[in-house]
Amino acid sequence: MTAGSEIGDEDLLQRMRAGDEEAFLTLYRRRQGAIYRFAYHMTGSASTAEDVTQEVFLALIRKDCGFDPLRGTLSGYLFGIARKLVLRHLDRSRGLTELDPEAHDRVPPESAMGDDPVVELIRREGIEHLRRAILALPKRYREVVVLCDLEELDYVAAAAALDCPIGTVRSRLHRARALLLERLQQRREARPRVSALKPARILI
Amino acid sequence: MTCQEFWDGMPELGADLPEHVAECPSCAARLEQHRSLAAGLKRIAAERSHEAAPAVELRLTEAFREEFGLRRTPARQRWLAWGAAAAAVFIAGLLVLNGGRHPQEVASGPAPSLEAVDSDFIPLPYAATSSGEALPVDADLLEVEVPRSALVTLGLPVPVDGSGPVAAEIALGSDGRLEGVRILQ
Repeated sequence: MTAGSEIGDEDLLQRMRAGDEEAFLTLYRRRQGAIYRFAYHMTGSASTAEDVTQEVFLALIRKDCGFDPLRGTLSGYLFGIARKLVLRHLDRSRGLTELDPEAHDRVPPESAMGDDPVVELIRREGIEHLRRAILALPKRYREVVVLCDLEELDYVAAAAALDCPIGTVRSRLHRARALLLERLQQRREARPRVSALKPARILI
Repeated sequence: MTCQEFWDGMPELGADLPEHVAECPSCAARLEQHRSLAAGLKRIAAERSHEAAPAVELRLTEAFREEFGLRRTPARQRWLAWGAAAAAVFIAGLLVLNGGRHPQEVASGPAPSLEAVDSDFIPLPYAATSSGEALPVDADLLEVEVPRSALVTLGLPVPVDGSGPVAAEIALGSDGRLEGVRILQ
């Protein structure tokens, strides 16, 4: 176990502010993954996620970064900056979000479905459809799913990152999950069963 | 309890389920969908492999050092990078000046001994210092790494110990011309 893993974020930040490079790197390595994944799941773009991660920590490096421990955790503060950057990016490139193109090729072949098509779709066709369904959610619902479900923040931390009441986080999450199920259901209905496909006649 | 009241309680977000779910097959099925969705979300959450590239950490480290005035290591790296670029130009320039002559022809006269190399600059064939003049006092010195093969090509002595590029110092005259080289290794 390294010394950095025993030190809290705020202590690392204090040491970092005194010019301790190791403290900065410990803090960065501890938090960068979550920030990167938040930006990635929000935008579907690895390069944007990388830019956002860099900008978030650049903001932290600046001596006037504005973090106040009385107003919330450092993690919440970092998510808050990442969110602003992501929203700015999404506003600029409205409607252009797309996941890793390779992901589109990973759909397994259709076979007999279980009793509940949505349950079966999620279980059998993997997480790629779910990923795309998340990316297709309106921003205010997408961000609660990413923070609460994917990054597993509790409602308090998510509310701090989103700068809204806890009740709003819960109601948005409730709506977001309902929308996800709707989209998965639509996708299920849009795909024909193998048995419904007519065999093509081959003429030689 | 009606179905609407049941869902208004956001049962998919809480552990405690009202009795309604046992009485209503439709809501029970819908809740099962939510559980399946939650399981799918957990699978995505379990993937922690997505991370920023190492280059981001390098850029941020550079920015951190700049912000806090800790520039020693990056300055040295930049110095070496410039030196490597200068060495490439230096070697390419010499090869052009030599017009593709055989390496033996380049080293006209006896090659300096390693003892001399350790203490003095070796004048280059075309430099003013090669005719016996001293190195200009205002010469700029640049630390570079020179491939051993380049030293052989130029007829310069190659240190026998070690392998890989040889650390050297080159002297630039006030007109920007290369005047001499000193092997540091």
